Amino acid sequence: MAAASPLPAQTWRTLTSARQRHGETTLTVNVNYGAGEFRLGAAPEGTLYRMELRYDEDRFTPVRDYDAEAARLALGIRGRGGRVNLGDRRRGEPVPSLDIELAPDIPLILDLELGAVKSRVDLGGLALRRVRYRTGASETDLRFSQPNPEDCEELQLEAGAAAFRVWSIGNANCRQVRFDGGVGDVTLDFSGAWRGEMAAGLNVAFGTLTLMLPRGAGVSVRVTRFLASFERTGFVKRGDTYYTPGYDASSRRLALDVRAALGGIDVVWTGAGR
Amino acid sequence: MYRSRLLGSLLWLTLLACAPVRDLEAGERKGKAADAKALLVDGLRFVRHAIGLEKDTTAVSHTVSLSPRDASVELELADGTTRVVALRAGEVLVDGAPIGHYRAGGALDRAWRRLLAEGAASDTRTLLAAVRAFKVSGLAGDDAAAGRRLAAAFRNLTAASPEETAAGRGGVAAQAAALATQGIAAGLADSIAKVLTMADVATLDSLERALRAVPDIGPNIAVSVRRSPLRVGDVTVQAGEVVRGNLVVFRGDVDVIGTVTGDVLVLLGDVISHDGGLIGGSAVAVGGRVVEAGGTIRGDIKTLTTLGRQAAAQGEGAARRSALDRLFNDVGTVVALFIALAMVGFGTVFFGRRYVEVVADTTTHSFGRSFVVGLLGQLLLLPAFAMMIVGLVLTIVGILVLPFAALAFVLGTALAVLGGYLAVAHAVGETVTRRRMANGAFVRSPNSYGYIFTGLVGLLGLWAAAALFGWIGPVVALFKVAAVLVTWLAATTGFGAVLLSRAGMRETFAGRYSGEMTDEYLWATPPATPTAARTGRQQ
Repeated sequence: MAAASPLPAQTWRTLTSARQRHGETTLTVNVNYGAGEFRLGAAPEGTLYRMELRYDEDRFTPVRDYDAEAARLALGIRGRGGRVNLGDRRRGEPVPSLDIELAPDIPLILDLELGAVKSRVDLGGLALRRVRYRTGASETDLRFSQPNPEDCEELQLEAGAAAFRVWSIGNANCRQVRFDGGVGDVTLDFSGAWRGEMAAGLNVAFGTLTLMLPRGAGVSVRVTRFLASFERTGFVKRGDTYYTPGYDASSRRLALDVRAALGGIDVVWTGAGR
Repeated sequence: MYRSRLLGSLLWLTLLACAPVRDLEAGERKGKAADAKALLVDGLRFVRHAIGLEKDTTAVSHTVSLSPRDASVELELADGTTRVVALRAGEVLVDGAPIGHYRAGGALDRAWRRLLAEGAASDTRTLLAAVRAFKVSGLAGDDAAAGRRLAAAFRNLTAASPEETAAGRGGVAAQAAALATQGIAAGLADSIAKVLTMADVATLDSLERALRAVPDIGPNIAVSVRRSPLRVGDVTVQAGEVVRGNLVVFRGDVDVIGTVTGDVLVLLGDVISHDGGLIGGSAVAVGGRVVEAGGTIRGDIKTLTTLGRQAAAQGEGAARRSALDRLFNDVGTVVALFIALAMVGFGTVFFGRRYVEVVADTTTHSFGRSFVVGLLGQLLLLPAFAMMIVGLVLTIVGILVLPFAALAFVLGTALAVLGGYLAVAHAVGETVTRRRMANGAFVRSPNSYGYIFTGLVGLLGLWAAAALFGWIGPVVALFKVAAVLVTWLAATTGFGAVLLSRAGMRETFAGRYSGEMTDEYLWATPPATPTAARTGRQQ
């Protein structure tokens, strides 16, 4: 007689969902994910999206709504209430996770809303028209590993208490970048294949903001700060704005408007030959 | 390809029709019949496909769901239809309709899970091809029968048969009904939590009791009120929507265009039965009316207008607290607060009389300075807290002690304010006592305990007055404003004194003189001091 196995404390479910492209010309993607690990990247050609979600089905309900007429896709999970199980690596329990791949060949409007999430997001290879990335208490690694073939209106980033790192923002090809940060350690790397001018408004409340700026690019920095230091090496001050030498002659320009309170603004120069 | 499969199907049908069935067990006969049916459907589909009647549908998306409870695949076709195959709780389901049984953990279950786990990583077309090719050898019993039917279903997976579509529709309808019921339940909890007040609860209770007393419909309806889920506000049962059981609505109208299988009971609202609507039970409006606008009501129609109004009035009356109750409540609160503060104050004096006295003396001697420092302290609390957090965050090691530091900060602030308030009470009590004694009043034992008691009586006096005269109405607001101001003033000054005196450890601003007594001190010295007593004995 087989012995009855004990019931697990929670029921983990793995949900994999994929959709093939079927004449879509654009797609608005909303992702809402509260807690766990999150990864996002480009899907193989012909795939509209692919999602793999691992979650505690007693606590969460998966969200995967696709409205073909509105070309709108909503992915993520919705809580059912109760205590959230985040898994325990020490006991060999896998943590909840959400992996998403999106079509690389149609223009995307991306809206990511993440909670206490450890995220690895690579938007390189996606055709982005607008990106909004909001996260709470999280560890974020967001990168644009390849240039965005589309003209991007705005890259909007918001982080609460977070370790927030964005790499190769120049590849995002966005005219406007906005960052609003609460408490934490923020690194913004503006390297990449710029195509024109970029303006970035950066607001940081408490913490360290590290700006990684490409040598050779024309960078202007306007700083409004309260009890915050600013590493101004490599800049020349004109009026209330700091400029890199050769700013006026530069074909690629980045205008930074930084507001910081209680913390430090560090500048790291990247690439060769400023 | 199609022709060969069609011929195969027809051959199978012929063989099955000719096969002797006498010796087959009942279960087997049933299984074979199902197989034959599946093959017939299969064959007919290929005929339709071959002559161009079958729509060439392709799968555009898939969802694979795996958990210890079930393993399912959902395929969405280009024409918008969805096909679902699932192994769940011992049943093999196609579009929600059971087609056989499987053994959990058996060969079929394991093979199906392996297929889905591996296929999930593929694109939809690859998964579909894998599912169509799904075949498990060596199955026995229920698994074997289910495997055969699954294989038949998979062959036609991208185009639903009339039977399967009907079953699917049934499944979808049932699922929609279940979802609607779940939605209603969720909505109920939400709406009740948001909308229902204590007055409403009292009204409902009155209604339930009143309805129980009505002879013809009372008991059943009363039970419905008590046991059925309650919706608050207007409700519309849409066309095609089915609400199973009773629908009880409070303070809202019900428009029935769809179907309600049980009674519709509206408390303080109307029931409107629209064209096409069906109410399987009775329609009852308490404190409203039942309007027949073309719908069908199979049960009774009852309207209890007066009863509803009475219940509503009773409910509001019951909900209204009497002035006496409020008086007792408010006075009780002030007395409880007094006792709590007095106990804390006595404890503080018992364990740290010296520190309490230094802080109290600081408030007396440096009142203005203490108030200003307390005010600044209040204003700087938040920035100081923020700076502490940032400072700790920036030093990596500090992050570890961050929770403890934050807790200590909040606790320390609360203790400083409370201690300061009690010190002010001490100072007030001491001043009052000394003046009384200076005026010749006899005080049995002038000590810190008495000072705190007297001071708290004074500081909480305004609160007591506000509680005692609350029944007067708006005038009491003046007492409350005064009480809030006095409390804030005392807390601010006390907090400032705590800061100035370093929690009673520094006497700089306490006006304590180590040398000879000043006139001021002598003025404040009561006659009942040991000195006076000694003087009396000497005389």
